[in-house]
Amino acid sequence: MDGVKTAPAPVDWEEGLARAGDDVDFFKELLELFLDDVPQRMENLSASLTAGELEESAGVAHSIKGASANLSAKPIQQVAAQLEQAARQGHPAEELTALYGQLKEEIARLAEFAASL
Amino acid sequence: MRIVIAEDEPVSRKVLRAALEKMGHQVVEACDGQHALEVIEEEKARLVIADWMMPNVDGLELVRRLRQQEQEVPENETSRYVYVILLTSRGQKQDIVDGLTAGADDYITKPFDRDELMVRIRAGERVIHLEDSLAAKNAELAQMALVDGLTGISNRRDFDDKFHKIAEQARRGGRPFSIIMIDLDRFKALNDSLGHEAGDDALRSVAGLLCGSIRSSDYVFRYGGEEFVCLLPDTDSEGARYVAERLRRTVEEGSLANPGNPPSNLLTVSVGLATYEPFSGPSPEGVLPLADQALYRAKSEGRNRVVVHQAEPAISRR
Repeated sequence: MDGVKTAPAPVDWEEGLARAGDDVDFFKELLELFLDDVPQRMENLSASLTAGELEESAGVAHSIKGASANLSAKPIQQVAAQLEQAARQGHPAEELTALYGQLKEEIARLAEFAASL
Repeated sequence: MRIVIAEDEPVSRKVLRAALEKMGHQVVEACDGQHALEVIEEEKARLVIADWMMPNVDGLELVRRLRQQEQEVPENETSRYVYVILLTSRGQKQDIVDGLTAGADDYITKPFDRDELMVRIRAGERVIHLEDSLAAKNAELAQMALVDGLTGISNRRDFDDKFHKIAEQARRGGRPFSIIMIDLDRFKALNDSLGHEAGDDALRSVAGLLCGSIRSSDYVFRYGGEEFVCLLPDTDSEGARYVAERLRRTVEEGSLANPGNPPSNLLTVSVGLATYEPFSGPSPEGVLPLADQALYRAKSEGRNRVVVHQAEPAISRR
């Protein structure tokens, strides 16, 4: 976990573990479940952003925010929250697309982290 | 306790499930509000943790529908109060206000803290427990209101209810029913000679004898004072006469003392019987005074006997 110094850790390990009842295996399971489930949500997010259905986009971002909060996957949680709010407020498409890109990156970082466990 | 989780997002659902199971609860999952309503009904669940944001029926709508269902419970059924805890995102103050206004009992912000979840569920359990003991007390009171305190059998009030129902069924279904009125003979003399306690004992004994010799489809009530009444659904005059005679004989053969009741000086009863016959004679409600009249005839004709009210001869058709 010392490898990543430039960016914040993809999960707050201690807090996340506590949420999982201090059960490492269960926490890993939760991470896997999230990573299994999130690609479908990202597809929905992408489709709704492209179609300009911002309410739908905000809803999906909200779900991702909630799921990541359970894992204490802070970076994902933060970007998803920003995206949710931006979509609700009807911010410009470029901004939303940029946030979507960031979210995708953070999810990839989490996947990498999970694979290393 | 059996707890229903209504949550569409799998990670939250799994975390919640694990936390609840660790606390010793049984968890049933529902993937949205509509599904939750079905599961709550099936499982007779009392506590629900519902996410605010769900497809189709969301948490707010779920609460509204649950509260509406509770309003619509028929009078003779006891409603089960479902305690609802809403899951909301941190800082959504308006959601909390709306949720509690709609009838949610409590809320937890996501991501939840295990200790907080535990105490909130305990608070919910306390409310459910209070609700249950209140419902049990109410049922007990309702039951008591229909039972005669002295004899322990159904009372006049219960008779009024049942009579009304049976009269209605007879009217609609075109079926007969019979009423048997029973009065203890020379009860005042019994009280005077043996005392009121013996009088009470006699009433209790007669109640027991009557209950023991009616059919399972019949009802017996203490009508007031030393008077009892039986309702015999779907029973014509002939069948009712048979039952009435058996009741009279049962009391006589009970060999209870009544020194003021010559010649046997045993406790006896006079019995009046009237029957509702569809498409002829009196209305269902009109049968009760006829049974009473028959009882008075039984008294005046010498007591310890059954008198059947005779329907007036049908008008012959030309």
